[in-house]
Amino acid sequence: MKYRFLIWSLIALGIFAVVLAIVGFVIRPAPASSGGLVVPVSDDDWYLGPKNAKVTLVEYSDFECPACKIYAPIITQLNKDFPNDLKIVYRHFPLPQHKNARVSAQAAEAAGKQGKFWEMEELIFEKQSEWASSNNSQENFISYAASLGLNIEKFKSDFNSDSVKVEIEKDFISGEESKITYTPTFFLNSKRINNPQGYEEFKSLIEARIGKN
Amino acid sequence: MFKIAKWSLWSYLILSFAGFIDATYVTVKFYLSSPLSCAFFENCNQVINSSYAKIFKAPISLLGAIFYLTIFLLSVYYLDVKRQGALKAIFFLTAFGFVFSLYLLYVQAFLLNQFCLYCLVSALISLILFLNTGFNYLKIRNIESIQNESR
Repeated sequence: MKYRFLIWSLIALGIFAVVLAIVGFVIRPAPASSGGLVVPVSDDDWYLGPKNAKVTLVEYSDFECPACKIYAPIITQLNKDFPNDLKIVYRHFPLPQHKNARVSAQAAEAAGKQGKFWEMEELIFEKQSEWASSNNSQENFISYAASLGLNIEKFKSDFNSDSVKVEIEKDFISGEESKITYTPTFFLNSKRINNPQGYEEFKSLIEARIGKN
Repeated sequence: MFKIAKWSLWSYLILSFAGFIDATYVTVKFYLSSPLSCAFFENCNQVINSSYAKIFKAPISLLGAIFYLTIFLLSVYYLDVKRQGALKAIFFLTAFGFVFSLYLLYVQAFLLNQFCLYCLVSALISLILFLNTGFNYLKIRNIESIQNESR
């Protein structure tokens, strides 16, 4: 074959292009029609900041996702910097790829039953590398619960309770309804936003919303 | 010398390429931590993320993508050099792929009690490939035995 080298090169290029196209298809931004928060914020949601703040930030997050861990201190800082104008809502979106994502969400919910959801959330993110690949992550969560001074027996029974699992599933389904495909995904006043690159960008986005209202 | 029917060789190329796209899509979704959109079987993510779906730390879909790509490249190679050995290699590969697909079907049906469309598509492709390549392999064997007898 005269053009053998050319043909094989084209095939290699073609395969490379197909793989790139698939990656591009998977990470494509959601269509504009799916840009809104479908299930509105309610009293059932975990939130920080004033109940009727001017601006509400909803985060769909997964405790096992590394990007969510990076955003965790940013969110904490935003809560400190906008004490009167920003309400921050946390919703679970445990990705099925992460084997301990759902149980970590159960740990946060179980701590929440004793009024320590946010403290547990912080700990779980902080110690992500400890439990993420563990085959017995429940033990890790129990030790975190102990360090927060929780009633361990109650924590254990809440951890495995249906009510906790249902809460997580409700959040997950609400995320699917908003066509979420990755974590974290943020909604600012019910509008989906592209993930800000760093604290300053996040801060100015929120300031702009506060100024508008 | 055995000459494979054109449609048959084209079906190797098209099916293996389709299998490659199917498996690559699932693999990319896996590595980008993005859940699959499940058609027909709503728990497809549980299948893809079950402990049966990984060999060491690699998702089986990655092995599937490599498997289909190898068949595709071997088919192009045959098209290029017309070596019968390539067709035989494709047959042995697809036979292995078919048996492995049966195992994965068994896992879905009896161990997980859940199916995933991407996996079923792959199983169907590997079945058709196996039948197709097996048919050609038998013909090659026939011709070879006639040639041996006449020597």
